[in-house]
Amino acid sequence: MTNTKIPRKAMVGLVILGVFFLMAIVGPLAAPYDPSAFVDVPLQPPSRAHLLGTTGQGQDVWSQTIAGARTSLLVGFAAGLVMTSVGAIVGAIAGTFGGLVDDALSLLTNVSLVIPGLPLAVVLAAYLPAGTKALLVVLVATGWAWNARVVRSQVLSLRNKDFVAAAIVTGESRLHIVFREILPNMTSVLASCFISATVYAIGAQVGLEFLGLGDMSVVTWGTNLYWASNDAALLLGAWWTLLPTGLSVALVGTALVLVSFSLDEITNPRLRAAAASARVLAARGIRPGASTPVVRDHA
Amino acid sequence: MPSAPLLSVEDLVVEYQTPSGPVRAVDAVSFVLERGEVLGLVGESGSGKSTVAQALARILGPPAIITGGRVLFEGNDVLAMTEDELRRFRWRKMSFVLQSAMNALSPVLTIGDQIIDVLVTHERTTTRAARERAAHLLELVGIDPARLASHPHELSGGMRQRVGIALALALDPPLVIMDEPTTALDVVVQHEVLSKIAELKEKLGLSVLFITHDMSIVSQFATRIGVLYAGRLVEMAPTRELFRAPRHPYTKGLLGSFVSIHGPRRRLAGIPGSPPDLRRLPAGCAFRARCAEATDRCATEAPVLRVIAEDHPTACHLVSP
Amino acid sequence: MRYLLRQLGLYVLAAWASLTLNFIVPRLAPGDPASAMFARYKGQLQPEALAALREAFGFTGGPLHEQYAAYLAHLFRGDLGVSVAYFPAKVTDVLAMGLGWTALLTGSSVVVAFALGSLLGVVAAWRRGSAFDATLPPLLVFLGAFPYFWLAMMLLYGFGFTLDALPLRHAYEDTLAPSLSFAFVASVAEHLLLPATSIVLASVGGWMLSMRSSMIGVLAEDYVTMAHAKGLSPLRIMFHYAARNALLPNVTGFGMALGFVLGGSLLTEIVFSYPGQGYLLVQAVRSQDYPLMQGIFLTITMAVLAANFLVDVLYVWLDPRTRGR
Repeated sequence: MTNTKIPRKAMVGLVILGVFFLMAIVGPLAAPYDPSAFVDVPLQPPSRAHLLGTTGQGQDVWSQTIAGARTSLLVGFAAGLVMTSVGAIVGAIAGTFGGLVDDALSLLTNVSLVIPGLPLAVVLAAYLPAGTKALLVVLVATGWAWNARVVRSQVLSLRNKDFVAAAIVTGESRLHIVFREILPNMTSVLASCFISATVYAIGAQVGLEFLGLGDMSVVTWGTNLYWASNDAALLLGAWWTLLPTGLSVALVGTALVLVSFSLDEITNPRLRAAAASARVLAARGIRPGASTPVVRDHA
Repeated sequence: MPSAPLLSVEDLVVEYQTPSGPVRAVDAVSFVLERGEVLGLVGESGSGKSTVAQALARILGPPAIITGGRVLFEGNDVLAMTEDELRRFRWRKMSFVLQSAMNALSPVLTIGDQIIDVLVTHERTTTRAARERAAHLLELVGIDPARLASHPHELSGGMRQRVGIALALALDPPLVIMDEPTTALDVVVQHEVLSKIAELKEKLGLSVLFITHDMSIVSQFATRIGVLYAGRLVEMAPTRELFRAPRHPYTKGLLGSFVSIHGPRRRLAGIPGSPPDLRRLPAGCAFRARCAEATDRCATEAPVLRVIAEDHPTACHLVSP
Repeated sequence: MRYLLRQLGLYVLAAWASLTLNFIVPRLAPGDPASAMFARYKGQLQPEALAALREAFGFTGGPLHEQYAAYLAHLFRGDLGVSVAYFPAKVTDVLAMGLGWTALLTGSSVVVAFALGSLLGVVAAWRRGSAFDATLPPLLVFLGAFPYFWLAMMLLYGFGFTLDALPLRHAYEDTLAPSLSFAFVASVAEHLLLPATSIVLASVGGWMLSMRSSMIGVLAEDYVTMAHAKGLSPLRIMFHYAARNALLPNVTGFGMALGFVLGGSLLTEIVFSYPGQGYLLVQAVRSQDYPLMQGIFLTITMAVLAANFLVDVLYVWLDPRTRGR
């Protein structure tokens, strides 16, 4: 492929992610206040002293948003990584080994997919000691199956490819084939899986913490929303205690989805060609869905 | 003045709008189809034969656009019709039998639904009358009318293709375009479908545009044959004339043998090489790279269609009248 | 029919798996939280209630398989123990209060979001590359990236609090008693509007995108070209030929997505104090009411599995090819 230009969608996504990473890494050093400390009169609207106002507990919202980025992104991306690994291993083994192994693992995957995630996550989180480790376990336990299914179907289509067939014929061990031949050849699929897993992890984490599960003393995007809701901030008109965190979650989610769209287009060149053709036609004012247009350029 | 021919295509140009620029899939194709005639269009995949067929009714989807020419049906230019005029024109004047029996019928609708809706749309009849007509159509192609309630997956490939033919005859159109109607079928079923088509052609006096990559099939029906290569018509002649005296090297290759004046006939395994990439057509003759007899002139100058013998135009530098 | 039987088998297995998880989790959790729970309840519950609770959870002191048998026996008798938060009400009675409201809220918003999203996806694919197709999907992706409950809070703030146009909380006016009167139904509808809208806003984009991509694939099929060639009206081609086929993969996805949307919908209930399972869930979490939490997990899982099976039946009805299999 000679066209190595990064698609515009991916560019937008990566820039947004970059800003949030920067916020998560160097932000806490630059934050004006201790995010947990009582620093001023509670529920002040945004002002020069407090760019995004103060919470019902008299904390600085801007400092809390920055601190939340660090914890929430860390947990989200870590959970995404573990979920992808678990899903990839289960899916790849099911797809490569076939037979009974596949039947059993596919059944496990499907059962796990139809059990609703949040109620199970609540039960798990309630019994596990509150903390980051427990949160990771809960997120992975409820979110790995989708990746396993995607990876398995991708492996099944790869299995018929020449290089895998060659490896099987030369008598390579099955595990060798899984980890050396198959998984390295589906990096873009794994990347998509990682992205959707991370989106799920961030969303589920925020949801669980909003419910009051987890360590409420740590500043995360989820606990920010929990406390805002607990302090009845909205009913007092303090929209600024909710807006920054919600926007942050949505921006990170959208950025990840944008990157994932671009990945899909790279994996599936026909998709990209069709999208580009649609743009070419649209640019010429040709409406799809009707009869083949007649355009006489040189008339 | 004689009445207009049934179908007259003049310098039709179809381009696919791709991100890397327009690709010309059909380049200045012209031909005439008279009433009662069966015209064969022959070419490899990618030669533009299906594109020509679908452009005639303007049912080519994006990213195709028609950039030039005229398509005169009974004297009216299809390329100048409005959407409403096109909808009334389609199927009533020109119907299709498409290549893949599998995919030409929607899998979730019954056979009956898919025949009846065309009748109801065009003839404004009652559903009941349409159902009777649909049953009659199935009988015409030798299928039990009870099959109206079946879904496509419940029928064999041959039956599906005969349903396709029944569907094409629904409005008794003057022209039926058959695009590889037997390609997806096995040989026995192929024969069965072809003889059905031949029978109906005689019985109903159809005009047919028959598109195929298989010379032997088209020879059974066609009164005349046009040969397409890389979106251009390279030779056209009455069937017997074409088989007796093919002029273009590509046609000779398609016919499976070169007729040598000096020696005995020798079989050819086919045409060496593969069809050219339409995105990067070479200068000169598009067939040059696969032509054993190409000269320097073929590399620089694209041959145009010239009438070599009576009713036998050919686009090749190597043949002279 | 074999297809439906296979799916049914999957759901039965999933049901058994969740019953068993429900049994195992309290026993596997580090630090023996179950004993801690019983110890904590000691002050609050009468000894008989505590004993009944132990029974229902199978903490009989016997070996594990006996505990499991006791647990299952109680479960099949419909005994999920007593709720701590709503003591002395039985968990099943507490659950029954909320089930209808959750079914109403989640059911109506999921159906609306699915129908609306699918419709928008059909139009976007049909008008591919148009301004509609270029602007709406990214916008809805952005909306869908907000947590459901956050959108709920913003709607609550905007329409309920600032504009004072719609009710802020509960499922109906406190002054009304549940009945089939017009006033009551109207009040239920009015209270449903904001929470349902927030769920629809958050989930419609997903349906739109998947319908759009499935539709784009279908539009390239021969039967759609045939429908064009037949001179049918664009609307008929779009819906009768293209969309009906494009809908099939989306229906399969519907079951999977249901559990996910339900999670968001439970959190939305909390924002509006909507008296469904989500509201009960937060009460359970706050008062560490494990029996209620586990009861909610079980009921919701069973409801989702049942809904999945209904979707499978619908799928068989929509796709004649599955009937023979």
